[in-house]
Amino acid sequence: MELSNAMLMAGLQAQVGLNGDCLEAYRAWYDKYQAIKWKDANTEAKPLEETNAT
Amino acid sequence: MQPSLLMNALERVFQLVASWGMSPVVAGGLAVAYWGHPRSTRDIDLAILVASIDDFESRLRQSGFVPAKPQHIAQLGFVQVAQWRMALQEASIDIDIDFLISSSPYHRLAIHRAPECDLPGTQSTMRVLTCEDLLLFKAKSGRMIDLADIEVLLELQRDQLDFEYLKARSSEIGLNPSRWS
Repeated sequence: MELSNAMLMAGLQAQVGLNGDCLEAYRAWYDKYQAIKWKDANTEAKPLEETNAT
Repeated sequence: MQPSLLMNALERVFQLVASWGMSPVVAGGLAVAYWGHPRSTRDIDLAILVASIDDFESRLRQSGFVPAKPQHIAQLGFVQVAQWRMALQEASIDIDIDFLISSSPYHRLAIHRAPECDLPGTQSTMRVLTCEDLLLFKAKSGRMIDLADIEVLLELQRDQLDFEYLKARSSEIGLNPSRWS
Protein backbone atom coordinates (compact mmCIF):
# COMPACT_ATOMS: atom_id res chain seq x y z
CA MET A 1 0.00 0.00 0.00
CA GLU A 2 2.94 2.36 0.58
CA LEU A 3 3.65 2.71 -3.11
CA SER A 4 -0.06 3.17 -3.87
CA ASN A 5 -0.24 5.93 -1.28
CA ALA A 6 2.84 7.59 -2.76
CA MET A 7 1.17 7.47 -6.18
CA LEU A 8 -1.99 8.98 -4.70
CA MET A 9 -0.02 11.85 -3.18
CA ALA A 10 1.81 12.40 -6.47
CA GLY A 11 -1.54 12.67 -8.23
CA LEU A 12 -2.90 15.12 -5.68
CA GLN A 13 0.26 17.22 -5.88
CA ALA A 14 -0.04 17.34 -9.66
CA GLN A 15 -3.66 18.39 -9.28
CA VAL A 16 -2.88 21.37 -7.02
CA GLY A 17 0.50 22.28 -8.53
CA LEU A 18 3.91 22.56 -6.88
CA ASN A 19 2.89 25.35 -4.51
CA GLY A 20 -0.64 24.12 -3.93
CA ASP A 21 -2.07 22.89 -0.64
CA CYS A 22 -1.63 19.14 -0.81
CA LEU A 23 -3.16 18.56 2.63
CA GLU A 24 -6.32 20.38 1.59
CA ALA A 25 -6.43 18.33 -1.61
CA TYR A 26 -5.97 15.15 0.44
CA ARG A 27 -8.85 16.09 2.74
CA ALA A 28 -11.14 16.84 -0.21
CA TRP A 29 -10.14 13.58 -1.90
CA TYR A 30 -10.68 11.59 1.31
CA ASP A 31 -14.18 12.99 1.86
CA LYS A 32 -15.16 12.17 -1.71
CA TYR A 33 -13.57 8.72 -1.55
CA GLN A 34 -15.43 7.86 1.65
CA ALA A 35 -18.69 9.08 0.13
CA ILE A 36 -18.17 6.77 -2.86
CA LYS A 37 -17.23 3.88 -0.59
CA TRP A 38 -20.47 4.21 1.36
CA LYS A 39 -22.70 5.23 -1.56
CA ASP A 40 -24.38 1.90 -2.15
CA ALA A 41 -24.16 0.55 1.39
CA ASN A 42 -27.31 -0.31 3.26
CA THR A 43 -26.73 1.88 6.29
CA GLU A 44 -30.20 1.59 7.76
CA ALA A 45 -29.88 0.62 11.42
CA LYS A 46 -31.39 -2.77 12.26
CA PRO A 47 -31.59 -4.73 15.50
CA LEU A 48 -28.76 -7.27 15.68
CA GLU A 49 -31.13 -10.24 15.94
CA GLU A 50 -32.80 -9.17 12.69
CA THR A 51 -29.44 -8.92 10.95
CA ASN A 52 -28.53 -12.42 12.07
CA ALA A 53 -31.87 -13.98 11.13
CA THR A 54 -31.79 -16.38 8.18
CA MET B 1 10.06 -3.55 4.62
CA GLN B 2 10.85 0.10 4.05
CA PRO B 3 8.29 1.80 1.79
CA SER B 4 11.09 3.44 -0.16
CA LEU B 5 12.28 0.04 -1.40
CA LEU B 6 9.25 -0.38 -3.63
CA MET B 7 9.49 3.18 -4.88
CA ASN B 8 13.14 2.68 -5.65
CA ALA B 9 12.29 -0.53 -7.51
CA LEU B 10 9.77 1.35 -9.63
CA GLU B 11 12.27 4.11 -10.28
CA ARG B 12 14.99 1.65 -11.24
CA VAL B 13 12.83 -0.26 -13.70
CA PHE B 14 11.38 2.93 -15.14
CA GLN B 15 14.80 4.49 -15.73
CA LEU B 16 16.23 1.30 -17.19
CA VAL B 17 13.42 0.87 -19.72
CA ALA B 18 13.45 4.59 -20.52
CA SER B 19 17.19 4.36 -21.24
CA TRP B 20 16.33 1.79 -23.91
CA GLY B 21 14.08 4.35 -25.60
CA MET B 22 10.87 2.43 -24.92
CA SER B 23 8.85 5.31 -23.41
CA PRO B 24 7.61 3.58 -20.23
CA VAL B 25 4.35 4.81 -18.72
CA VAL B 26 2.96 3.72 -15.36
CA ALA B 27 -0.30 1.79 -15.82
CA GLY B 28 -2.31 -0.72 -13.76
CA GLY B 29 -2.90 -0.44 -10.03
CA LEU B 30 -0.30 2.28 -9.48
CA ALA B 31 -1.93 4.48 -12.11
CA VAL B 32 -5.29 3.76 -10.47
CA ALA B 33 -3.77 5.03 -7.21
CA TYR B 34 -2.43 8.14 -8.95
CA TRP B 35 -5.93 9.01 -10.10
CA GLY B 36 -7.38 8.64 -6.61
CA HIS B 37 -8.05 4.97 -5.79
CA PRO B 38 -5.09 3.69 -3.71
CA ARG B 39 -6.01 0.03 -3.53
CA SER B 40 -3.45 -2.60 -2.66
CA THR B 41 -1.25 -3.81 -5.50
CA ARG B 42 1.96 -5.80 -5.43
CA ASP B 43 3.15 -5.49 -8.99
CA ILE B 44 4.33 -2.76 -11.31
CA ASP B 45 2.64 -2.30 -14.68
CA LEU B 46 4.42 -0.34 -17.37
CA ALA B 47 3.02 0.34 -20.84
CA ILE B 48 5.92 0.50 -23.29
CA LEU B 49 6.71 0.85 -26.97
CA VAL B 50 8.94 -1.87 -28.34
CA ALA B 51 10.09 -2.55 -31.87
CA SER B 52 11.04 -6.14 -31.08
CA ILE B 53 9.81 -8.18 -28.12
CA ASP B 54 12.75 -10.58 -28.57
CA ASP B 55 15.25 -7.74 -28.29
CA PHE B 56 13.40 -6.30 -25.30
CA GLU B 57 13.36 -9.62 -23.47
CA SER B 58 17.01 -10.19 -24.23
CA ARG B 59 17.82 -6.85 -22.58
CA LEU B 60 15.72 -7.79 -19.55
CA ARG B 61 17.59 -11.08 -19.15
CA GLN B 62 20.93 -9.30 -19.42
CA SER B 63 19.78 -6.90 -16.69
CA GLY B 64 18.99 -9.72 -14.26
CA PHE B 65 15.23 -10.03 -14.75
CA VAL B 66 13.64 -13.47 -15.05
CA PRO B 67 10.27 -14.49 -16.54
CA ALA B 68 7.62 -14.57 -13.80
CA LYS B 69 6.40 -17.97 -15.00
CA PRO B 70 7.06 -20.42 -17.85
CA GLN B 71 4.26 -19.02 -20.07
CA HIS B 72 5.01 -15.42 -19.25
CA ILE B 73 3.27 -13.63 -22.12
CA ALA B 74 -0.51 -13.26 -21.89
CA GLN B 75 -3.09 -11.43 -23.96
CA LEU B 76 -5.13 -8.87 -22.01
CA GLY B 77 -7.51 -6.71 -24.02
CA PHE B 78 -5.51 -5.20 -26.85
CA VAL B 79 -2.13 -5.58 -25.18
CA GLN B 80 0.29 -8.41 -24.70
CA VAL B 81 1.46 -8.60 -21.12
CA ALA B 82 5.05 -9.75 -20.65
CA GLN B 83 5.34 -10.83 -17.02
CA TRP B 84 8.84 -10.48 -15.58
CA ARG B 85 10.34 -10.55 -12.11
CA MET B 86 13.20 -8.72 -10.44
CA ALA B 87 14.82 -9.70 -7.15
CA LEU B 88 14.94 -7.00 -4.51
CA GLN B 89 17.97 -8.41 -2.71
CA GLU B 90 17.93 -5.76 0.03
CA ALA B 91 14.40 -6.76 1.07
CA SER B 92 14.58 -10.49 0.23
CA ILE B 93 11.52 -10.25 -1.99
CA ASP B 94 10.73 -10.42 -5.69
CA ILE B 95 8.82 -7.71 -7.53
CA ASP B 96 6.68 -8.67 -10.53
CA ILE B 97 6.66 -6.25 -13.41
CA ASP B 98 4.06 -6.51 -16.16
CA PHE B 99 5.07 -4.84 -19.41
CA LEU B 100 2.07 -3.90 -21.55
CA ILE B 101 3.00 -4.13 -25.22
CA SER B 102 1.03 -3.43 -28.37
CA SER B 103 1.70 -2.25 -31.89
CA SER B 104 -1.71 -0.57 -32.18
CA PRO B 105 -1.93 3.15 -33.04
CA TYR B 106 -4.09 3.66 -29.96
CA HIS B 107 -1.41 2.21 -27.65
CA ARG B 108 1.15 4.58 -29.17
CA LEU B 109 -1.23 7.53 -28.73
CA ALA B 110 -1.91 6.65 -25.08
CA ILE B 111 1.81 6.51 -24.33
CA HIS B 112 2.55 9.77 -26.11
CA ARG B 113 -0.13 11.75 -24.26
CA ALA B 114 0.79 10.44 -20.79
CA PRO B 115 1.59 13.31 -18.38
CA GLU B 116 4.73 13.52 -16.28
CA CYS B 117 4.51 12.49 -12.65
CA ASP B 118 6.88 13.23 -9.75
CA LEU B 119 6.77 10.45 -7.21
CA PRO B 120 7.61 11.48 -3.61
CA GLY B 121 10.92 10.06 -2.46
CA THR B 122 12.32 9.49 -5.93
CA GLN B 123 14.70 11.61 -7.97
CA SER B 124 13.31 11.06 -11.44
CA THR B 125 10.23 12.22 -13.28
CA MET B 126 8.04 9.38 -14.50
CA ARG B 127 4.97 9.30 -16.68
CA VAL B 128 1.52 7.88 -15.96
CA LEU B 129 -1.44 7.04 -18.21
CA THR B 130 -4.11 9.72 -18.38
CA CYS B 131 -7.23 8.77 -16.48
CA GLU B 132 -9.12 8.41 -19.77
CA ASP B 133 -6.55 6.01 -21.21
CA LEU B 134 -6.40 4.06 -17.97
CA LEU B 135 -10.19 3.64 -18.16
CA LEU B 136 -9.93 2.46 -21.76
CA PHE B 137 -7.16 -0.05 -20.98
CA LYS B 138 -9.26 -1.40 -18.14
CA ALA B 139 -12.51 -1.49 -20.10
CA LYS B 140 -10.76 -3.47 -22.81
CA SER B 141 -9.26 -5.88 -20.26
CA GLY B 142 -12.61 -6.51 -18.63
CA ARG B 143 -11.53 -8.43 -15.53
CA MET B 144 -13.62 -7.98 -12.40
CA ILE B 145 -10.90 -5.89 -10.74
CA ASP B 146 -10.73 -3.65 -13.82
CA LEU B 147 -14.49 -3.10 -13.83
CA ALA B 148 -14.42 -2.22 -10.11
CA ASP B 149 -11.58 0.24 -10.72
CA ILE B 150 -13.57 1.84 -13.56
CA GLU B 151 -16.58 2.37 -11.30
CA VAL B 152 -14.53 4.12 -8.62
CA LEU B 153 -12.49 6.25 -11.05
CA LEU B 154 -15.60 7.35 -12.93
CA GLU B 155 -17.12 8.54 -9.66
CA LEU B 156 -13.92 10.29 -8.54
CA GLN B 157 -12.92 11.93 -11.81
CA ARG B 158 -16.28 12.48 -13.52
CA ASP B 159 -15.95 16.28 -13.54
CA GLN B 160 -12.47 16.19 -15.09
CA LEU B 161 -12.87 13.42 -17.67
CA ASP B 162 -12.88 14.07 -21.41
CA PHE B 163 -15.88 11.98 -22.39
CA GLU B 164 -15.57 12.90 -26.06
CA TYR B 165 -12.09 11.37 -26.08
CA LEU B 166 -13.36 8.27 -24.28
CA LYS B 167 -16.13 7.77 -26.82
CA ALA B 168 -13.96 8.42 -29.86
CA ARG B 169 -11.19 6.05 -28.77
CA SER B 170 -13.74 3.44 -27.69
CA SER B 171 -15.01 3.24 -31.26
CA GLU B 172 -11.47 2.74 -32.52
CA ILE B 173 -10.62 -0.12 -30.17
CA GLY B 174 -13.89 -2.02 -30.34
CA LEU B 175 -15.62 -0.83 -27.19
CA ASN B 176 -19.17 0.45 -27.06
CA PRO B 177 -18.91 4.26 -26.77
CA SER B 178 -22.26 4.43 -24.99
CA ARG B 179 -20.75 2.83 -21.89
CA TRP B 180 -19.37 6.29 -21.06
CA SER B 181 -22.73 8.07 -21.31
